[in-house]
Amino acid sequence: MLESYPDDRVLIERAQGGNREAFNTLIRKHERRAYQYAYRLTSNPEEASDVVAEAFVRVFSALHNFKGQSAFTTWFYRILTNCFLDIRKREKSRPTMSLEAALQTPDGELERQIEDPSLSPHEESERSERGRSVEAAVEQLPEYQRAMIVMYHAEMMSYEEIADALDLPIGTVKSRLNRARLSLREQLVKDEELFKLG
Amino acid sequence: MNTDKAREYFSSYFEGSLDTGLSQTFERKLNTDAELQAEYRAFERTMSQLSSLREIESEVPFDLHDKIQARLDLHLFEQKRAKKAPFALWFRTLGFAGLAALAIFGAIKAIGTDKAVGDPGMAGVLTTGGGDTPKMDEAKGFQLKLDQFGEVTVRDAVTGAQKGDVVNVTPETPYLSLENSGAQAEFVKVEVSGVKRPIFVAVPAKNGSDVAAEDATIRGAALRLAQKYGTPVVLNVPDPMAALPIATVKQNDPVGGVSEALGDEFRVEQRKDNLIWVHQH
Repeated sequence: MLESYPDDRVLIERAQGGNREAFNTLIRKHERRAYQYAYRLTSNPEEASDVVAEAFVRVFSALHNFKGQSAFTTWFYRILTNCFLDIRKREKSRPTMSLEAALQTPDGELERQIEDPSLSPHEESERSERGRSVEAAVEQLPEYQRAMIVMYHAEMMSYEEIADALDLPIGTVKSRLNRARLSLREQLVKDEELFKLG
Repeated sequence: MNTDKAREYFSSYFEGSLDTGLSQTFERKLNTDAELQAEYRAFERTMSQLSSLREIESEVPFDLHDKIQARLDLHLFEQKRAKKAPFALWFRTLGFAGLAALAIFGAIKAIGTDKAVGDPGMAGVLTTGGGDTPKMDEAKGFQLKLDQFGEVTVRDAVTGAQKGDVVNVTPETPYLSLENSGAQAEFVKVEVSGVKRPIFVAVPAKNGSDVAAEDATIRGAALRLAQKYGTPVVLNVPDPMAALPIATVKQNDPVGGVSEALGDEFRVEQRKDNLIWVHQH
């Protein structure tokens, strides 16, 4: 079912005036696309949901600062990207826990069960081998480069939109994207050679 | 054109955005360098493969909207609690009080001078982020003295949103004024053009309440200490979101108190601008 929503400017103006329903509509309008972007960055449904939820909280908090000089989606992509980077930093600074360590409960020890976030067999068969190889190579990129690659190649954003979203000069976006692509090329060439050997 | 330079042009050549002259030079290089040619062919394959990223999608969780609403409700609840109780607890969060306003003013004056606004040696005062442009001699707020110069951008450390105008800081005009007219201490990022690592500043609010009581990070500590001592805490650290246990601080002296809170891993100093600077070893 195709849903139509009011223009972002209208929703934002109402939300800035304190209309919570307008903000809820803004969430509904953008949450799915935001989730797909976050999923492409994180490859993890749970983490993607966290990124999106956190991003909307920041949008709500900072909406009074949004002057409409850029499109809302551009501003929102910036916040989403920052949330992803911040959550990743937090994860890295957390103390690690051994997966082998059992949980102590009043009823005795429990083995730690880790949910497997990987694709189901059906989903796996839908993806080509090459697609998985590209996805794996992108996951190896530093987070910032990964965000730019996903923005350009998956979200189909232009260089100008990416520059606006990340608040970088367009030349910097182009050179960083080129570098990210060169890194990916190296990784994929290695994978191709492994396929040949295997 | 050397090989490294040629690689820098891979994307532009692929997209057809190189000008004619440069394109011809690039092609000549490709034609005479078999290894580079092979690299470029591999690059073309990579660009083609990258289009498959569009296919990566996950089924949107059925409860995503509810999760967002729950997070938002929690944020609003915590905001209300923080405003009501002077020592309210604050759940660890990257959000901040939406009503806070941080006014940033441009670099103002050199040390020990008494120059007038129109004097060519002075950087003009730029009002950014709201508020009227003050006169030079009515500069308010804290004066952050920078030791690296260039175009300075102040951003909200949470959203990345720019606060105010970009300001040019020079050796002659090295100060950046920071004033927080909001209800709680604010955490901002100060970026200087050409300098890789930004600094972070926790700016106290004039009559602010306790903040970030349960935020167990360097940032959380900086916000609490800035509000406690009424002076900005400047962080020269690689990661302000790194974990740091919450410590009870008893010292009245800001340098002693901040050192006590942060531990031996940090060097703390109070500079001539009276701000507390923290450096990580």
